[in-house]
Amino acid sequence: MKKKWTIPPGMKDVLPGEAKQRRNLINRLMEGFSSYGYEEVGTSSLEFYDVVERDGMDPSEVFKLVDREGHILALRPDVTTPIARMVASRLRDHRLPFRLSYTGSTFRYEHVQVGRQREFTQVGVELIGSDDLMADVEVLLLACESIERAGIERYKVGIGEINVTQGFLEEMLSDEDLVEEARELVIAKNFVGLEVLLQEHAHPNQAHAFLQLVRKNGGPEILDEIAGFSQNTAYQAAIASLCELAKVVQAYGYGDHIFFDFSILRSFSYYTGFVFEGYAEGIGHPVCGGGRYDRLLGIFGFDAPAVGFALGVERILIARDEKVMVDGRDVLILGDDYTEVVIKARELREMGLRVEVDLTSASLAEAADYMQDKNIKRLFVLEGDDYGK
Amino acid sequence: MENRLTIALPKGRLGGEVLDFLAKAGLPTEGVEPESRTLLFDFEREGVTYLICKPTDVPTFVEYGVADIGVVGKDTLEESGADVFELADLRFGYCRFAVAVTEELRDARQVDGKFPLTDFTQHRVATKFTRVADRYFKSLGMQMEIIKLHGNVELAARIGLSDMIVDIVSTGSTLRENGLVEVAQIFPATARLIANRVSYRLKNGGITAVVERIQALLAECE
Repeated sequence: MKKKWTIPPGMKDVLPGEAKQRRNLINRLMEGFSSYGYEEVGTSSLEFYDVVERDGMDPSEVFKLVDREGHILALRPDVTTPIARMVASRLRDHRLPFRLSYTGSTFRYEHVQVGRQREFTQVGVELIGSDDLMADVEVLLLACESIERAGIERYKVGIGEINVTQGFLEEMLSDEDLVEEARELVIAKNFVGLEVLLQEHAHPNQAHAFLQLVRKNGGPEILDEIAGFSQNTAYQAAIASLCELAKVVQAYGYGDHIFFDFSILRSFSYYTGFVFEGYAEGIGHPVCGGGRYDRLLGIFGFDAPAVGFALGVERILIARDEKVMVDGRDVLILGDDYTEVVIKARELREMGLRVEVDLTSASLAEAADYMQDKNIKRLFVLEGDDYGK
Repeated sequence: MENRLTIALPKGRLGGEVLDFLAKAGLPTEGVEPESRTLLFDFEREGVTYLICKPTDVPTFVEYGVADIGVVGKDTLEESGADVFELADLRFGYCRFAVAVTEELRDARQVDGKFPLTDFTQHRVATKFTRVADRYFKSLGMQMEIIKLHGNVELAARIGLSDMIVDIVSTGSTLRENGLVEVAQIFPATARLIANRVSYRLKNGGITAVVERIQALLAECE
């Protein structure tokens, strides 16, 4: 049987037109970041596995390989952890805060479906060195603006808080394993399973309050409704910050796009404060996600608070669902003399035209046919000393 | 954003119970037939559309977002592995997943009235629910050869295709008629209200209204 040349599941080739669309989107988003003072950085695609391990991802979801010295390497499953590693090891003597942006491929061994592939491109920012609410505000507003810059008008950004939801769980459940189990049920939005677990292991009043908490979903008014659920200092402080955050977002004009939902926890374990996810119609997974992670850099030996987010390029392209346009060329040049052709082509390119050189010694009829197929608007014929059009 | 809801309902026995329940919860159900040839029922004024589909397809329709919410048995949901949100337990349509063996095998192997299930690691089990069976045996540290069948699973144990079966049991009469006995319960299942991940965020108002009606009804029944 003839061999079929395929690519591994969850990987994707990017064809003409598509590649341009993707490049334009990434450039637009990066320009937006740049206008806020974020500087682009890049990290390596391969990391030592023990770096990647720090983000609390399921080890079975990480692509691993072994180098010739026997080290376990991993294809990065996100860029935040590598950036934390890079800043802690290579940029620690610089003045804080850092505003860093990036784009790159990330890899996860996912169950493949639309919007969930094994290689995907992230574009994002990290604001390192500030624990001020202003930093949270900046990152959240930048996320909303980025979704709009990407051409998505109908979207919502849901905001959660680790200190509220996880803090409540830790206060209510004595056992670490139970907290983790409950956390996973909240992330999977399995309210039935959660209720069963809490019935068995939590005080009925607290269980009741917690179930109400994770089911709440709405504007800033729900912050007042949940304020009485716990007197824990971190819980109260977190809610006060969210109220402040909501006020700024409202005044900035994005009030209608945000809501609070305390079942949003994100699956990475490094988050320590506010977290958020952006949703758009037509795609079953968030188009962006992020939040505050104040302890991740500390793991790499450089104690600094941080906040950031990333957008999924493929998911945005799915949500936009645009027709793919293959780029046109302005001019096709036809001619027998190589020197004349390349010199003329340079001249036309210098005028800002997109010029393609004929490689087939085509007749005029063949050229016309080719131009139609390739969407080329004009023909330039060089013949001997006569220049014709 | 828009708050029109599309709701996926299962055909068959569970479908009838679901409709009665939704009617009691105050949703429009007039003229909806879980067994008719019509597969779509539209209630323009109330902003509700029902899709009638095979029970095993309810999680699929909801996962892919063509239905915003749906009602399905926990057994079907668990086996589908669909990535959906599970919002409420409707507490009807009870059944349970169980491991069953022939009466002879149980009598020959049980010790003090207990069947030593884990002794049967690396044996064969037949089931329609391979995912549930796989997870259950793994949780016991057992490695099993799982044989997928599409119906009459009891037969497999009866004629020796497998040592045991995993199946859903409601009263246990089918097992008894085939000379089988339950030796372990995996988990009980009832009907669940499920929601699409994105609909839950973007149409939260409409979905929450349905959840609240259902919870009020469940509280009344208690």
